[in-house]
Amino acid sequence: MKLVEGFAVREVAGKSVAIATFGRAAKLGGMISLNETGKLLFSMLMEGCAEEQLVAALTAEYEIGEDVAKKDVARFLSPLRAQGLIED
Amino acid sequence: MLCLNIAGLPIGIEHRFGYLPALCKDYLAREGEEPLFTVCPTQAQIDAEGSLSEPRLPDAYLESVVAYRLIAEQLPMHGAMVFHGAVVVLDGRAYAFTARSGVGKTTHLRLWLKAFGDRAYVLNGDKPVLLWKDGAAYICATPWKGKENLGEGGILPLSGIGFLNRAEENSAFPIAASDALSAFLLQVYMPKNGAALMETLSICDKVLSSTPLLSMHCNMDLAAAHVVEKAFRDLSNEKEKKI
Repeated sequence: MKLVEGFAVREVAGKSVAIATFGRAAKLGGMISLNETGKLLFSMLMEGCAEEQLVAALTAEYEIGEDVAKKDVARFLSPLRAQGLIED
Repeated sequence: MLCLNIAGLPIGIEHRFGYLPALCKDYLAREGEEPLFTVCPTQAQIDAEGSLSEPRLPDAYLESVVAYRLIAEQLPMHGAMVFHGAVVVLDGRAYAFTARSGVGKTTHLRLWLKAFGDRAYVLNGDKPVLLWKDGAAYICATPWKGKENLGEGGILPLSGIGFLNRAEENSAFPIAASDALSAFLLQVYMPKNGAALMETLSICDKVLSSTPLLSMHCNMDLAAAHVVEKAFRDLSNEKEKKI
């Protein structure tokens, strides 16, 4: 799966912000404030990856169990999917 | 065509109605000055804007709203952006108060005018321009100054931004740029054009990182103005001590 084209991630005032700059992303609109975990997942989704890879990245990076990571990933993906921002 | 000077930038407006020249009469560029860019509100854009209010506002007024939005789309490419806030000047220092509409920016502005008398005036009551130039943030008056039409004009270095919240008791304390980010971004015009949007975020980053920021919690008593002014003064003294 992959994020729709048109997003860029930028550092503003020490925080990461994902902004829709063109294409479908811009039509759907908006700006998403990302914490550290969000930035990692978002960057992977911009490149394209499987859900399992997102879970693996969280368990490797933050020393959390797979069950917790799965829940975190699902919670992160849910609004993006609802907004139509992810292509499977 | 009108040629205006907004934030020190010559900007052209192709217009059809008489409202814009009257609105902008104090912001005309020098005669013969070539605009950096020119905006041309179309009837379709005016109609789209008109459909947002019931009953529909006059086309002459809607043209001015569309013109400012078109200007806002292009300003970031010239180091400037439209900001939703009320700006008061006290003893030559400009402070911007921001909050979503209805929280009480204008009410708070009026408290400053009442509390400090001749020492204070309003630079712009609603939609000034924030300019980043030569490593510093400036706040610039515009003809678009809200329904109360408050604003005497001018361009000044920005001495502070206050994020206004309603409260029973008055208090004001410094906040970090990262904590102010979300509230700030909501009050900045975000262009549809991707390059201009990136420039806008770059200006936001620089302004937030260099400007004293306060979280303001205010009621409608005169004391609110004194509490906030003192907090800005303390912050500014602290900054000077560090330098």
